[in-house]
Amino acid sequence: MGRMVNVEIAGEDLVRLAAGLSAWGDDALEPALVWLLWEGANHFALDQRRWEQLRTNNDTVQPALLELQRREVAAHVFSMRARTLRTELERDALQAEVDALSQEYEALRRRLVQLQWECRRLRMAVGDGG
Amino acid sequence: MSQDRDVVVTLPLALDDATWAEVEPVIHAQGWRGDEGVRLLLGYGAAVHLDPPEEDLLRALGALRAELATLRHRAFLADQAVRTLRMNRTGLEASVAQARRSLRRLEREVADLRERASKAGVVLPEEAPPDPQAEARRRLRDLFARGRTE
Repeated sequence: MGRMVNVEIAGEDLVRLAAGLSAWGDDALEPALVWLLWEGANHFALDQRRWEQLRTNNDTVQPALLELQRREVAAHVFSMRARTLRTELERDALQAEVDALSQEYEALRRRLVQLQWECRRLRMAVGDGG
Repeated sequence: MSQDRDVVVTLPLALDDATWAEVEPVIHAQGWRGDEGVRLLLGYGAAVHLDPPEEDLLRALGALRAELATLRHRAFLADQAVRTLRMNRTGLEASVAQARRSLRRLEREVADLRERASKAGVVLPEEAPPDPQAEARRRLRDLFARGRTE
């Protein structure tokens, strides 16, 4: 049955992935990414078990342990880059909305002041104090 | 593939049963959100297969941790700004709606007064409309004058 997932990634990361997976061919980026995802899940599960074995050793800067840490932090950087950029895009869009609303409010306020003045003038002219 | 100024790209991926069977238990075991988990595992796959081999792993790890800290800080600041801007937007939307209602009411009132003035044969002298800032000062003066008891 499978499933469809939408994954957001940073444009610069997509360029890097496409370059790294170019051996799959120009039109095969999606299957290449699915393969990379499968590999990611597979290696992550294996590395979790390896991590448990390696951490019993007191040498915390052994290359194997550092490589596992590098992979994990690299994956978080990959994910965080997209999340950060998405949030910054949302912030920029909201800022534009707020700026537009502020301008609209200022224009409405100017028009209101003008009409209030007009209203006062007309009331005095027709002798309407209220 | 949808793009936002090429900064963030949304990729639809069709996962077959075998891939999903590999991916889903990891995401579930780690307690990740679905989309975030897929992205993390894609990043993990890239770190395994696409990153060039590092000669100085300690230095590479330090650089990645620094980048992650910077990204988290940027995300934190952007999150805060989003929350504040959402509140500002809500407030401004209410103010704009209120101002529109007031404007419609005043427009009706002015139209009515103009008609009465016209029927009474009143000719209004030419006068420049007020400067909004001067009008605000005048309203403040009126307000304080009304507050006086002497």
